Amino acid sequence: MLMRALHAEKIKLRRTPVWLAFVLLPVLPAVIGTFNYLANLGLLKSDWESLWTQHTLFFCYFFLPALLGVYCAYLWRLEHLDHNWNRVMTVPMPVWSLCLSKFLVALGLLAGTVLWQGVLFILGGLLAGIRVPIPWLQVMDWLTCGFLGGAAVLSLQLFLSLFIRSFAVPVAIALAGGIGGLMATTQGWGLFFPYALLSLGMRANNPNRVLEYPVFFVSCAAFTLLFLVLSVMFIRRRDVKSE
Amino acid sequence: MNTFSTEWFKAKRRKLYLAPAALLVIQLFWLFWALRDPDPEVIAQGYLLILYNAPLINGIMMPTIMAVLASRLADVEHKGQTFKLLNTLQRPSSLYWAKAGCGATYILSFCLIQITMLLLMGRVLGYTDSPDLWAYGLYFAQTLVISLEIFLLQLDLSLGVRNQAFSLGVGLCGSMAGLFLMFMPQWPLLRLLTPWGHFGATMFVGNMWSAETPVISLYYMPVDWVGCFMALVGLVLFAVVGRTLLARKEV
Repeated sequence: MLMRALHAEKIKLRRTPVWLAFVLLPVLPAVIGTFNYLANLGLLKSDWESLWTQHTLFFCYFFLPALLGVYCAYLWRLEHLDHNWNRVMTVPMPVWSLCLSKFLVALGLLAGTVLWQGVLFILGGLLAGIRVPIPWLQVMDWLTCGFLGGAAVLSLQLFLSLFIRSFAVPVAIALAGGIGGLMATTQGWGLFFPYALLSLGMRANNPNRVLEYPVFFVSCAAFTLLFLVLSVMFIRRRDVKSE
Repeated sequence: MNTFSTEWFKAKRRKLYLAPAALLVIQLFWLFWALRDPDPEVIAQGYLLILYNAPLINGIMMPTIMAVLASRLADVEHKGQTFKLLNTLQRPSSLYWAKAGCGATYILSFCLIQITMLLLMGRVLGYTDSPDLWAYGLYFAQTLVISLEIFLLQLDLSLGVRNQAFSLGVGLCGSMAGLFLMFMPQWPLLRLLTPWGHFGATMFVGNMWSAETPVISLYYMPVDWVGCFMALVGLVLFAVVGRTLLARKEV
């Protein structure tokens, strides 16, 4: 049943404008981050870490959470349109597989975004003429932890997009959450705020930050599970509304 | 007028003001958090510092706020599939102007509240300089015009494309482009030609800073009237294009 739900989600994603944001949004910080890096070589060290901060600083705090918000809002949008909730609720499919399929598809989109960001980072560094060898292990660490932090954001955004029927409001919440994440990180509460996990994992403002991996992993898993369970409970307990 | 008041009926209980209001609170909280520096040199030029930081935060947040507002105003027609019905009762252009007017009212309120709060913030933070009213007036006018310009662009996209992921995606890309163009004075043409770059192009407070003497020194730059003019041109252009596209839209 889960595979069939996944297949349906895949069909919904075909020819969607979400791909526009998926491709374009990471390109902008990569291009301008690289130019900014080149323009400030007097202040920055010529290495991959300096370039990483230029690529990720604003992207992770402000735009990646909002982009994830767009993915999640889109995944629930078709259910909120027309009378589709009536159809969904009469299909013999467990609620958990519906939620899980959306989460897995969103996770796939996140993985694509993170990989795309990594490719652009390496390309940007090579074009900027960084002579130091690429720190592959470090890059993998930043991207993997960013992915795990992003999973917590996805779970929360899917929950928000489930009960907020408007497409735009959850995206605005994600933008606000990203800014909240910046504040939470500077206050040292980043591990307890889902939106901050994304930038903490990617070490957006400090590539050398020592991440407390066990706490970070537990926090990511806890937030991911919590909001997935809340989504399932929400659908089970609340009656559907149709347009 | 009838169509305009109908828009307000449609907005009833939908709390359209909530997203812009929440983001306004975050904007102010962020500014307060960033500017609460008790350094005497900062306090002596605090109102200038507000004018230096506010366009930056507007550049990051306004395009997304405008995209959200426009999407919520337009999405109600897509979800209800009402274009067919509405276009038999009224001219599409009047529907467009009603939506634009409704959004403009929100934006005007937003800008008024924002500038009042910025002036109040200076008092709360104990800034010792006095705010230059011409500068705050100019900032208010610029924020209003540029926000309206971006709102109209987003309204055109939200009305034209049923899938709101497209307009929100453009809004996010715009936010990102606006933020980076703010740090790219070496690309003046790009700042002038993109609506999201206008927040950066029309900034009139500069910051003199060097690594050797890490003291912030703020000063007024000559106002870029070309940037202001381009924002006005964009506003008119997006209004005319949006109205025409809606009138020609096949429903």
